[in-house]
Amino acid sequence: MSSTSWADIFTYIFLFYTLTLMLIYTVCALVSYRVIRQHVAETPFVDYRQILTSPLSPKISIIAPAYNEALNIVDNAMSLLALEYPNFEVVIVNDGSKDDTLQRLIDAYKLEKTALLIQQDVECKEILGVYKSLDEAVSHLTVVDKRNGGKSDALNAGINVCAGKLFACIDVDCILERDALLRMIKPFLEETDQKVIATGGVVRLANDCVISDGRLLHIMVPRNLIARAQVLEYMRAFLLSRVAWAKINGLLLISGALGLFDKQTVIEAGGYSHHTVGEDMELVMRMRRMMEERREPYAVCYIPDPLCWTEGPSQWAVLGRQRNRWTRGLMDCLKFHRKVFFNPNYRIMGLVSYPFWFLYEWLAPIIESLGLVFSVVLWLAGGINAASFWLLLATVYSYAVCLSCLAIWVDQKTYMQYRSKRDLGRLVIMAFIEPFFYHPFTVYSSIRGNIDYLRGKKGWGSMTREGFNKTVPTAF
Amino acid sequence: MAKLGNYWVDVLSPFQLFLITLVAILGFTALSLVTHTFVLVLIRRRRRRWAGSLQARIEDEISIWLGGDYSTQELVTTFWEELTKDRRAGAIIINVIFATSKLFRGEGQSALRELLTGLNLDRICYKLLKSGHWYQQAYATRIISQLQMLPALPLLKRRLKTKNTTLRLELIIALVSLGDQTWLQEVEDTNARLSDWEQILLLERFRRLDTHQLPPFDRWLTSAHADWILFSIRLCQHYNRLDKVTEMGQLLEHEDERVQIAVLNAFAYLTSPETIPFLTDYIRQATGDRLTCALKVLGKQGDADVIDLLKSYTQHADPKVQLSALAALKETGLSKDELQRVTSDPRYIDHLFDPKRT
Repeated sequence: MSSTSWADIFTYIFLFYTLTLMLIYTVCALVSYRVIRQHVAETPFVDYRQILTSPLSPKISIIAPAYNEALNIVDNAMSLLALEYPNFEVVIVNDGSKDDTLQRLIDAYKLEKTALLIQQDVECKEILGVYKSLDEAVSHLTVVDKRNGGKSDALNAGINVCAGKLFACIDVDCILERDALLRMIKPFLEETDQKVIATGGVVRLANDCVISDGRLLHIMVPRNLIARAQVLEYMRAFLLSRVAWAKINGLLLISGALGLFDKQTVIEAGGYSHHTVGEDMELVMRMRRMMEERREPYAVCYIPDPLCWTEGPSQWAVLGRQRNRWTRGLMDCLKFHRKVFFNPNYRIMGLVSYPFWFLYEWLAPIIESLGLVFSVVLWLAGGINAASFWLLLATVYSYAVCLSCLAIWVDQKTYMQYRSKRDLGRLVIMAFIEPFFYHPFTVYSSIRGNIDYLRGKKGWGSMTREGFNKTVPTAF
Repeated sequence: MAKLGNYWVDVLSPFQLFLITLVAILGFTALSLVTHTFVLVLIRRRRRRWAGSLQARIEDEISIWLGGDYSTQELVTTFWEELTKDRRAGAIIINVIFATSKLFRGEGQSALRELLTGLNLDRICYKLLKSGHWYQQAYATRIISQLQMLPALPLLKRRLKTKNTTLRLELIIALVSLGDQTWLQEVEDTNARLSDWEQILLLERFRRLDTHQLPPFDRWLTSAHADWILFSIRLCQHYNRLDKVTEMGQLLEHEDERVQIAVLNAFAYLTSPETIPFLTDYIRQATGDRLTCALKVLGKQGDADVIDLLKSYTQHADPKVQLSALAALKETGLSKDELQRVTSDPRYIDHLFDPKRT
């Protein structure tokens, strides 16, 4: 076969891949918009306060792992303790911190070591002590001190200690909406023919937002360009994609920042895995596999309301490490559960969700990079038509811009998180410039993640945070 | 396969035309979305300003009218003027009447209902009830329920078979509020499941009613549907129906585990000696979580006659069962010393007597 024919084949493969990806994103966006509109229309008729006074509300345990969080741990714990829900406990797991995280909690809440017995339902490192307070006001706070074993190990320790039928796993430095639990419990209460095994919620970026006493007072678009690009990225991912996946019950990932799980199902699945940095996705995949193998009807639900606010990286190096870790986590999950790939026994999970994550999440940056290299080679070999090349590039660019604009529009039509014209203007400008500086970097980080994975790199890498903006401006 | 060389020519190939069209469509869509986003912001601001001032005016006038300084006729004339100026005012007037009516019962509520009728806005509610959108139907149902618009009852009943759970629940709550109990059998017979969410909302609505207004919920103990049995048990527990212990005890043999657990919870709450024979029978056949739960409930009955039975479970193979039996024995009033004699593991005793144990 001549070299031109090979070039033709590759070109058609890249073209087919790109057009399919665009088609999938478009379908997801349209389905998501429909679902969100339905959800927003339903909201005025849902009185979550009824749960607050109901004796039928099930107990929820909030598990928050903490490692070297001494600086903010007392405030973060206070924020969690102030959540609106009638029957809940907060379990903070001190994962062998090297600073005085534990001591600060003991001092602030007058905690004492208990003699409570712990059932080892899922594997975790040695628990050194369980602390509770005699003070009635914080009787729903439990602090677990354990040997360092990583996030998943800390979460497993929390599962062993907690008493709730359901547990929420959250990042201790996240800001939760006060009614987050009330909203997240609803799918569990609504379950009838399908067992709800987990529920996720929308996570948004809180960089530069005004926060006071663990509450988000004013939402603003970040000044930092890296963080601003992530705002747009999160809007696209959470508003235009995950909602659609949940609609077809194909959700494989519930963000580690916020998720509510059925404890018994998690225990039966074996708890969080110690062998991956993508423990959040891996758990959901394992739970789904278990339910599919048992042939039990189940659902992984998703709440489109913004419930959790987190701080995104505002430096290239930190962002790069985060994306590198996400890629390695994804590769672990795909590897551990490769049996599912196009396996009809796993229905939606095997035939749709897993192949999508494999072909369009993991492979996308690789294909994109190869496509770029291929174009350069063709260009140098004189085998490319400049007009077609630029037109293809323009198509991909205009699609990316269009998708970002759609995310901004959907947000305006539904939740109206960013209300000022200035903030909206900033987001729109970002939609136009982000494909030039932000997207290439995430692709690069992902490729680095692939290389690191093949080299056998493990671990999270350091994630420095700058902290939330806690100053209240005089007027906004 | 067509050679790319044929396409890579100076004149526009069909493929290039396709791409140009795609770029044009995408560009136009993006610009339209951006424009609409900003237009939405402007429209919303204007509408909020207009609605805010109109709402404040309507609220003022209604409060003056309720204070008796305005006749109904005068108020109706003023509101008619607003409605003539802008038909959208109708929705705001309905909202204000609806919100105000939540503060009243009896006469105040019927005055507001008459105001709604006087303005012909009740027709809007009926029209919404017939609309194709479930959320409009649900909104109308809520107003009908709040303002006790009894003539709408047949219309509400007709919609009970809806598949939309939110609307269905609104309809059920409205029918409860309007005091009509005949629908209950219909709802039960639809075979639609009654989720915990619906049970929570219905229970909250029932709690606001006087006892004589409550539906005959004890009848559902013999329902063919497990969800309704479950709901009935929970209601019996909530309303302290000690007279239903026997019927509930028989439900411990129900095939649905949720029903069994609900009965155990009800027994734990009611603490009646009549529950003991059912519990002792149940414990002998139960396993796992149901057994531990039943042991705790038996302990809560505080009867000295069950001590020997509970003691036998302190030597059970499952440590969870041992601990539950010890907790139950503690509930019956056994002291720390007495419990220490029952178990060989002192950690259980430390656990049970830890003051920080909740």
